[in-house]
Amino acid sequence: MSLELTFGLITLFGMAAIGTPVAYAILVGCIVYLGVAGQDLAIAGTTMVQRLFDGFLLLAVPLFIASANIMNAGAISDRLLQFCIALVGRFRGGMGHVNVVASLIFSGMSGSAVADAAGIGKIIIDMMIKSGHYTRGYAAAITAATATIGPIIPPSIPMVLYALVSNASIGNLFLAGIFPGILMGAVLMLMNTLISHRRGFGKEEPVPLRELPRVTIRATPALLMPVILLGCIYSGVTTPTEAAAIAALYALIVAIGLYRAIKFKTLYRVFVDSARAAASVGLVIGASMILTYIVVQENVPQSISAMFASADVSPLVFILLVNLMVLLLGCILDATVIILVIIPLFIPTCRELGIDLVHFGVVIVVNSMIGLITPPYGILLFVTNAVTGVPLKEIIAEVWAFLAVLLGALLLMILIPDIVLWLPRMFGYQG
Amino acid sequence: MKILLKWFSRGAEFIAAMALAAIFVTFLFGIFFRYAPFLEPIGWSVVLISLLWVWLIFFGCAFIVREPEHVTFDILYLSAPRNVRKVMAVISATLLIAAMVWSFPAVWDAVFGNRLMELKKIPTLRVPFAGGKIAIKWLFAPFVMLMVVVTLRSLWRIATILRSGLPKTELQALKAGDASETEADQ
Repeated sequence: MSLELTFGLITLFGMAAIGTPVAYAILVGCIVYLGVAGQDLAIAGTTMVQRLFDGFLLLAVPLFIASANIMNAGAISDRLLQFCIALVGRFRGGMGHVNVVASLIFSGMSGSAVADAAGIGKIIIDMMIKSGHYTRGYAAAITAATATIGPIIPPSIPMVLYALVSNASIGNLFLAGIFPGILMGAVLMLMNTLISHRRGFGKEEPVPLRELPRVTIRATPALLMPVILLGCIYSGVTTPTEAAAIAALYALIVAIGLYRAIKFKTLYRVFVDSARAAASVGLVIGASMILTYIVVQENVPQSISAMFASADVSPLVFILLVNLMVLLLGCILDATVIILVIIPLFIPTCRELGIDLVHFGVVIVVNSMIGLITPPYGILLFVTNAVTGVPLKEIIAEVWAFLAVLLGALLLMILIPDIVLWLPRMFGYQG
Repeated sequence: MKILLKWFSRGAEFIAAMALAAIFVTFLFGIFFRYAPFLEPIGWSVVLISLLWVWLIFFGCAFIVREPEHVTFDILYLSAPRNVRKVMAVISATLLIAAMVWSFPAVWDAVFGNRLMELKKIPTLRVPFAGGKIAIKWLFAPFVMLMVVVTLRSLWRIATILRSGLPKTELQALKAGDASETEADQ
């Protein structure tokens, strides 16, 4: 490692450790790198602007943020909940199942785990606690765990970021996420059933089956969102980025036109909040692009690739090692940072070892989403704690069981790539 | 002063929200013009969207993103005692200012002192009515603005910390649900 890179990294990690926003820490680290190397200090800023300007795919990010916020502001989540309660509320541990199914469906719209947990998640936790059948720690823990499904099922902001750093097709990544997302939902429901029976959680009043068609029709417009999104991409009518705009338009039409649930003032706040979120994510993306520029200049990914090649590591061992690392990093780092900064280091090795980049991407995204609920630093734990007031200690005590089954699902996805790749192959992916 | 700041931040919020709305609408225009009969596909929508996106990021981070809303690795910061946290925040702001001031001349020179930046134009985009093309330096200008604003905001942050203590973190604000801006002294 060169002297300038050492100085740059020390600055970066030092500043990030004392609480500087990650984007600024990276920017300063890169400026230090350029300074020590005797290069033009302006390169940091101009590279960042140029890459953001060229990275058209990224524009899906603000649009997905906007459509998630529109969905949360409209009465869409309420209707989805009624649908889920009618569907699976009748079983033991019913509200736990409702939680999983709601996340599965809602994640087809939001693309962000934190939006899931703070929006629909909060409503469910309140309902679970009010029913008196569940401890508040359990309610919060299962909500945090199910929110990890959000970014696995399309649309997905983390997958857009991964597509950017790996050049894998965003359309294939989106398709590849569908089964893994359902698998995660299935294992969580299994765990919920086990725990509910063992602890004897009470049942809810079942919604009569004849009500089901009515509730379903009321929720249909919301249920159609992922279909429209993927339909636009796969029919070739729009590019994946444009499809994000269509998704936002659709969310708007559903919220205003069909459900009449959103006022102009609310809509304005939605745009302000989305702009704010988009700007802060955009800066992190831009900063990590400068870092990538420097890391490539220093040949770091190539040296890593050469190291693995000389160690004669099999693809499976490599993918397991990277996943173990991401899991450990996920305990302390943000998923965005992992995908944008750490993962690009390993992409050349993947190509070298013949690992499918769509498979790798989905596995990594699932892994970094699990990282959102691993103690001690899991954003979803903090968010559920913050919006419901359930103490962190109680949430963490209950989250382990769900963490274990999610890890099991991750391992399955690693060992059986077909879980991930079957669907995109059906649509003609040559991987 | 307080009222002025409030209106300023409202105005900034309005501009950022409109930029996002413009991105959204331009996307829809682009798709519409491609499929509607008798209309020619438009080439400038992609460039306009990208330009607005760059502006939205830097303008947004300069004026409407609050300090705790940035993606932050705060596990160490949050577990430190209050006094240590104060020191951390002051050091972090000072380093940020130092880096901005150090690199500012080079960045200014690269964006506004470079004839190429003036001569090269943003492709396909024209100023409405006047019809001229836009020099590429205006693509980079928002970064220069961000550098200036970050420096000023960091100075302000240092002053606030020294005078009245640490600002609240996002989760604390969410939990407490009240509007006061600084941590209560426990």
